[in-house]
Amino acid sequence: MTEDEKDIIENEPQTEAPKKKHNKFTQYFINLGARIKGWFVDKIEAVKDVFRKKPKDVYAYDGPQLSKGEKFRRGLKSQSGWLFVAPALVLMAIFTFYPIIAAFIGAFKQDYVASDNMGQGSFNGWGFANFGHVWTGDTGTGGADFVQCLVNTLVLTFISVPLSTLLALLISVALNSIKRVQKAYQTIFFLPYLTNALAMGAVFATFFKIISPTGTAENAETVGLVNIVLGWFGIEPVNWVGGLSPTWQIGSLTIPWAKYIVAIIYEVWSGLPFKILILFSAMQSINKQYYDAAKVDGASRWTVLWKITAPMIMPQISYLLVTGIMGGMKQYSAIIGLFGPSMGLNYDMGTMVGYLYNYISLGQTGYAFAGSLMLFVIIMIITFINNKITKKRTTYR
Amino acid sequence: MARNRNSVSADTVVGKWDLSAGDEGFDAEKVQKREKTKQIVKNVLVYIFLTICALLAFLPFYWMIISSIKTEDEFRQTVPTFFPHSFQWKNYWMIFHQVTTTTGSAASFGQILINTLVVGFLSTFLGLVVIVITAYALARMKFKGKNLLFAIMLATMMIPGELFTVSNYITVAKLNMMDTYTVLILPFLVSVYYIYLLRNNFMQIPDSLYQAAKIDGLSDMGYLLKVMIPLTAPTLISITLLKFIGTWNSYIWPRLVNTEPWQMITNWVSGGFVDRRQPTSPWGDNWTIYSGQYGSSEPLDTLKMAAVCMVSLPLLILFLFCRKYIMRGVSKSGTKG
Repeated sequence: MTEDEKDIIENEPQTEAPKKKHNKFTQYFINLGARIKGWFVDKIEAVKDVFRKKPKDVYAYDGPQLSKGEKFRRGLKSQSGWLFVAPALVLMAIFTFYPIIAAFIGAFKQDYVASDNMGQGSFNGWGFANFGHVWTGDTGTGGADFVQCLVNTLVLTFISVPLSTLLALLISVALNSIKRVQKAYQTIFFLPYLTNALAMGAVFATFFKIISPTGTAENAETVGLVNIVLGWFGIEPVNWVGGLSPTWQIGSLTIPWAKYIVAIIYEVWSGLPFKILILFSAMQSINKQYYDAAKVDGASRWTVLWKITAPMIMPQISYLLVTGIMGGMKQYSAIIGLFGPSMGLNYDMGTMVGYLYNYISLGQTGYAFAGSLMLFVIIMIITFINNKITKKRTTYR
Repeated sequence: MARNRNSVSADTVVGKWDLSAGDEGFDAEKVQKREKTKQIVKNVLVYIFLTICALLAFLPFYWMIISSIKTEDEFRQTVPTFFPHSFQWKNYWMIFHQVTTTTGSAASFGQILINTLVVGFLSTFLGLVVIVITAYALARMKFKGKNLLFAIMLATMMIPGELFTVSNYITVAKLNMMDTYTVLILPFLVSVYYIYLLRNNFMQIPDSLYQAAKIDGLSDMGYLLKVMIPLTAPTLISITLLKFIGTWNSYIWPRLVNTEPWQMITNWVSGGFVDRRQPTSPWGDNWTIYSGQYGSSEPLDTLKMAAVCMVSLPLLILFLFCRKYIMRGVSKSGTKG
């Protein structure tokens, strides 16, 4: 190292202007050398610092010195939030977290039958057999058929949800365009929401029911309100809900179309209130200026509906479709209310959830677990597809 | 949209003006009148549409009420009547003494109603306590792992409740908790969605209020009771009502875990109602309203409708009194309980 370099390194931080101007090339190496040396010096200082005896730090007065116990107590007190969430946490641990794990384990215990006491229950080793048996219907118990239940659930959901959303949209538009007695209509349309699916299912069943000793429309005491109304148009009475209800057969699959219609009518009726509530309040919150502007431009009602109202409430519509489909996949009590505890004739109107409960009450826990996992996966897939679609839709303006 | 804008607008403008010009020239009064009649016709059509829809929506309720006071003979007439010829209030008397015996153990309506009310009030009250303190801790207090805990709680909402039911049924069976009120109350005390809703409500209350309360020497619990709860009362009322309605309507879980004397009102209504007391009833005698005209096992729809009324009408009355809170709660949460 030359004398000049040393000089620069030592004086670099202090000196304002270097004594001698180097050319660019030399300066670069000088700076590099300085930096390397500085790095080593820093590290050496840091190591020295560890062994150096520190002078006692001086703090601002912070109350009396705390004993160890006191410190621990205060530490605990700052975590007292856990005390508040503890009840919820304990309950969730038992009734939410544990069941998830148990379901995933139990589904792989082949032909698992849980015991009522603290015992382990019985099962034939581990594997995927439960899923296979559930899918092929080879459960050996005479319970509901999984594929039948799956088809029923999908058909009912994907017809009734769009239908009731469309109807709710029409009613909300009509409600939005009137000025008087809006509240009264709104209240009436909301009433079905509060009712019990089981109770109202029974009421709907009486609309469709044929009461006769033989179960057929001949020599019937009454053919039911719907059949009477259909009779005015010359349509023969249909056995809508009874055991002799007409069906189509596709392979091993039964399509009880008459019962489907009854269930769809019920689902639309019971799905309307929530949808109207959401859509109507969304329409009410649209800025009135848009409508005034459209009026000035001479837009027709249809144009206003499709070009202003519909795009503005698109997020709500997609929300309703998503929640409707989610709810539809879990329908159960309405079917019981309409078609009785065996869900139609030998579970031909069974739903996915109905399938699970059927196998719980049969004591076939393994199949119930496998079925519930399959329901979970199907719901996840639908959620995923929904998210994909709605993301596209909701950004549209 | 790629079309030339100028040419399009020129056409439409000409078309528009043609419409109002008519054949004998522009007459403002006539156009106004025509517009007005058009408006009135449209309004009438809208009202007709709404009225038809409203009538159809209301028809099941009307049918349920009139059927419940018809005689069974009238109910089974070939052409149904839309107003009962004679009121048979005995139907209600009958169902009050109806005893369900599908599993051998009998339960009267009084027993079932007491079950439902006890479970309803207890689970609503306890559930509210749990929800409030949990939401408060998550909104206001500081502790390690709070955000992780909240995220996990929210994640469980993704999983359908039916997945839990199977394991919970086994848990309950193993713990020997069947045929108790506890088993109806405990599993549904925590509802993550309401915690989430209330937490967001709590978060909206400004921090300065909390600091002021602290300076005045209020404890966390005191702050919760004296400041937070009064400020979020509307949400709390909505949650209370929806939770109670949810319990009132619960069907699946009580049916799975409890036998009849411990079940709820919806389990009772799903049974068949016949024209006699079963011999196993505590009252023993064979009191009937049709003196044997209908067999002892033939389900009678009029009695069933009376039972349906008993289940549905309390909720409808509750709705009439608390319309605002229920509708607000539903539009926020979109759940039944």
